[in-house]
Amino acid sequence: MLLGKELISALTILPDYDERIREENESVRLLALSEIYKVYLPSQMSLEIYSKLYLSLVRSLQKKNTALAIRQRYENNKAIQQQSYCGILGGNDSYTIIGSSGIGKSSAISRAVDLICNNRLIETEKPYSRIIPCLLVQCPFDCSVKGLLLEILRKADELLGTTYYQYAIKSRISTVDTLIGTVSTVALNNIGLLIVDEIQNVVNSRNGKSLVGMLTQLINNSGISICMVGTPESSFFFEQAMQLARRSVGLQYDKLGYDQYFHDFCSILFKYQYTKKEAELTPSIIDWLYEHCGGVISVVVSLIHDAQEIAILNGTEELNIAMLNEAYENRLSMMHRYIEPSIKRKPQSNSLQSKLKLVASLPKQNDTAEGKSICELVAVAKDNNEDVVEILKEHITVIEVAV
Amino acid sequence: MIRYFPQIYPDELVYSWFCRFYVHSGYFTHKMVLQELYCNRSDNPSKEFIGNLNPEAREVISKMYPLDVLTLNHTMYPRYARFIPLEQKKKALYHVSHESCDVHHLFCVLPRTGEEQYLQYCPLCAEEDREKFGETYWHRLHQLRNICICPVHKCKLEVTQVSAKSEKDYVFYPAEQIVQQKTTIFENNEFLMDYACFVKGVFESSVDFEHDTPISAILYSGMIGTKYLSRSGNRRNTKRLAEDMKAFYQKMGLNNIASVHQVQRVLLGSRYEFSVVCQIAFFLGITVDELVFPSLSKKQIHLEESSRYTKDNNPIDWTAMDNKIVPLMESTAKAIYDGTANKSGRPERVSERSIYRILNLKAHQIEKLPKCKAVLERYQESYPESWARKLVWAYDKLTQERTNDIHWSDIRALAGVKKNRCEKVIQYLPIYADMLTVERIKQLIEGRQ
Repeated sequence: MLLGKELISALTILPDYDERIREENESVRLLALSEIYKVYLPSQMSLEIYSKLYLSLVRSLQKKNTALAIRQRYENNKAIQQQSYCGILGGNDSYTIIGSSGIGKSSAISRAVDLICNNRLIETEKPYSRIIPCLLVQCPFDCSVKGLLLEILRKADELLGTTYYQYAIKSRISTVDTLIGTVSTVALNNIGLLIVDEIQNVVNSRNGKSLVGMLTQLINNSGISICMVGTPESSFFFEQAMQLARRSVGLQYDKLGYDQYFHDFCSILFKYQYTKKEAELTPSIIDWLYEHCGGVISVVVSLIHDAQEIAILNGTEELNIAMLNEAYENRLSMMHRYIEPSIKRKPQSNSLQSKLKLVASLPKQNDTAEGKSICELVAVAKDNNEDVVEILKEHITVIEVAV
Repeated sequence: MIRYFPQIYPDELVYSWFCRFYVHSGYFTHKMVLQELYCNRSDNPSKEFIGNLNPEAREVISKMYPLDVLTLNHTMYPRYARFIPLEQKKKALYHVSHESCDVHHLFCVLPRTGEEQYLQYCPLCAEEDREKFGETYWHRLHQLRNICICPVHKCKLEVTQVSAKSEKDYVFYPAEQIVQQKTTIFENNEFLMDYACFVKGVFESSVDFEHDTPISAILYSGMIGTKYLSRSGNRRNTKRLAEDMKAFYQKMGLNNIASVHQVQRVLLGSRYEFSVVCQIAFFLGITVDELVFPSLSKKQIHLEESSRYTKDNNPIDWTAMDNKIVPLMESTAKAIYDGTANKSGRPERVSERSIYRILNLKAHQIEKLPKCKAVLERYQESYPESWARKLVWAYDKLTQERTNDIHWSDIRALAGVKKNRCEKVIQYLPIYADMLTVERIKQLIEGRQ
C-alpha cells in the first residue's frame, strides 16, 4: 500500500508537453490540446479514496478461503437451486463515496483502481483462482436488479475470460434469486471489491429500494466489499432507514475550496498552453477561474481547454480572461445556474425596455488593475458622455444580467 | 475458462473434487460444469477415476497437481492396478492420467453388487472434515469394496443412495449435500477391524513402479510351511484354502468372499483382483510390507513359476493378424465409403462400429493393429462431410436417371440428409463436385428452382 509522497507521485498523471508544439499549425495544436484532459493531480480526496479502496480490498480478500466462505458457497448453491438459503459470511464492508458531480470522484476512483490493480489479476495456486481486485459497474438507469447482476457477470467475464454471462442469458432458470446465488459465488471466488457508480439512480426509481436490498444481500452472501459512488441526492435515500444508513457510511465530499490545491492545479494546467502566445497565470485569473468553476475541477479543465480552442480557432492565439470569458459564456452556458446559484434568473418580461443589473466582479483589492477607482471611472464616463458599463468593462470583469 | 478451482483434500476422490467444484464455481446447472470439465457431451463424471477432461481443464488441473500424482493419490487406481504386471501397471497409469479410455481394457473391474453399488461415508470422518475444512467430501478409503467399516474410527460406514457406478450419470453429488449426521455404530468384531486396517495399509502404500514381482510368487511364499502347499512345493491345496478362507471370512462377516475359482486364478498368476489377493494374504498372515514391498529373490520367483503348470495361452501374434486383416479392412472401408457395399449404391460414412461388425473385430483390439488403425484413420470424416458426399451422389444419380426437373424432396429421399443440416454441409460441397453442381444443389436447398 502506497502512502504519502509515493502515493501522490503514483497517482499523478502529467502528459508530456513540449513548448515547440506552439510552432505547429492549428490542426496539430487543436489535436494536442486534448492532452489537457489527461492531467490528473491527486487531492486529499484522491488519497483518502485510494486508502479506503485498498483497505476494503484487503478485508475482502481476508474473508476468502475461510471455512465460513466454503459454507457460504453451499448456501449460494442452494439459492441457485431455488431452495431457501441464508447469508453466513455477512459483513459490514459496504460504504459510499458521495460528492457533487464533476469534483473528480470517478477520476479518483479510476486512478486508485488502476494503481491497485495495475491491469493484473490476483493469482493464487491453491486454490486455483484469479481475482479481479476491483470491479467497476454502473447502476442501471432503471435500477433493474437483474440488469445489475448481469452487468456484474458480464464485466467479470470480460476480465476473467469466463462464460457466466452467456450461461445466465441462455439458462431458463436464471431468475433473480438464482442470479444472486451465482453472482455471490463469482464475487466470493473472483472479485475483491465491487464499485457501483451512479448510485443516485436509485433515488428516482421505483426499483431503487430493491436494488439496494439486492446489494445488501450480495454483501451478506459473498463477503466482498461494495463501494457505492454517487451524488449528494443519494444521501437522502440512504438516510431513510437504519439498515440503509448503516451500510452507506463512508466518504462525503463537497466542492473544492479556494486553497493551495486549487492554486497548484491551475498552475499545472496553465502550463499546458497550445496557443502561439504564452500567457502568464496571474492571481486574478486564478480568482476568475474559481469564481467561474464553482469549486468543480472538471469545469476548470473545460474552461481552460475551451478557451484555448476558441483562441486558436478565432486567431487570438492567447489564453487570457477574454477567451476564458467567452468559453464560459458560450460553451458552459448550461452550467451557469449551477455555478452561480446566488444569482436567480427570472424569465424575461415582454416589456420593451428591460433594466440591466450590473454585477461587477471586483478584484480582491477592490481596485482596477491600473490603480483607478470605480468612482474615477464613473467620473470619466460622465465627463466624456460615454457608457459607464463599457468603460468599466475595460478595467474589470462585468457581467450583465437581465432582470 | 476456469478461473477458480478448490484445493483437493487428503484422500479425496477426484469425483468428489469435481463435485465441490460444481458447488464452488456457481454455475447454474450440472451440464455447464460438465462442459467446463469434459470433452464431449457424452462424457460423464467418473466416480473412481479422472475421466475424459478437455484440454483446458486438464491444463488448469495439472498446474495444481500433476495428473500422475492425482491418479495415484486421489483415484481408485491403486486398488485396481496394485498387483498387475509392471508394464501393464505403467501403461494403465498413463492411460488413466492422460487419455480417455475404458478402464476395463486396462485392468479387471468387477461388477458392483449389493451395498458396493453406492458411495459410502464415515459419520465421524464427515464430522472431522466439517470442523477442519468447513465441508465434507467422498473419501477414497470408504469406497474400497468389501469394506464396511471405517479403518480409522472403527465404525460402520453409512451407505448413501449415490451410485458408485459411473455409467449414465451426468449429475454431481457433493458429499456435503448428501452426508447427514447419523448415530455412529462402532464395530466390535476385532477380526473385521484388523482386516479393514490391513486393506487400508495395502491400499495406501505407494505403488511400486520398479520391481515386477508377480503376486502369485508373493502368495506362494506365504503358503510355504502351511497345509495349503505340499512339502515339495509343487502341489497347492487350493480347494482347502478356499474353503478355510470362506469359513474364516464368513465368521468375520465379510460380504464378498473369494470363490475357489478366483483363488485359483490368483495363485496361478492369471488374475490380480485386489480383494481376492488381500483376503488370501490376510488369511495366510502375510504382512502389508511383505505384500506390497516384497523382497523375493529371483530364485524364489522361479521356484513358484516352475511349481505350476503354465497354460500355453498361445499369445496372439498381433503383427500377423494386422497384416492379414489390413487388405480386408481396406476393401470393406472402401466399399462403405464409395457405396458399393450399399444396395442402393449410396456412399456412407465409414464408422468404426460398422467395420468391427463386418469384420467381427473387438473395439479394443484395434489398438494392437496399427496398420488397420491407419486405414480407419484415412477414411475418417466428419458427419457434414459425409452428408455432402451423399448429396452430391444423389444429385448426380438423379441427373443421370431423369430428364425432368429435380426437386429437393427427391434428393432428400435418396440421400437421407435433412434440410436443417445443410448449413453445415455447404462448405464441403466444392470438395466433391464442380461449381455448377454445387450451385445447383444450393439452389435446391434454398428452394430456388
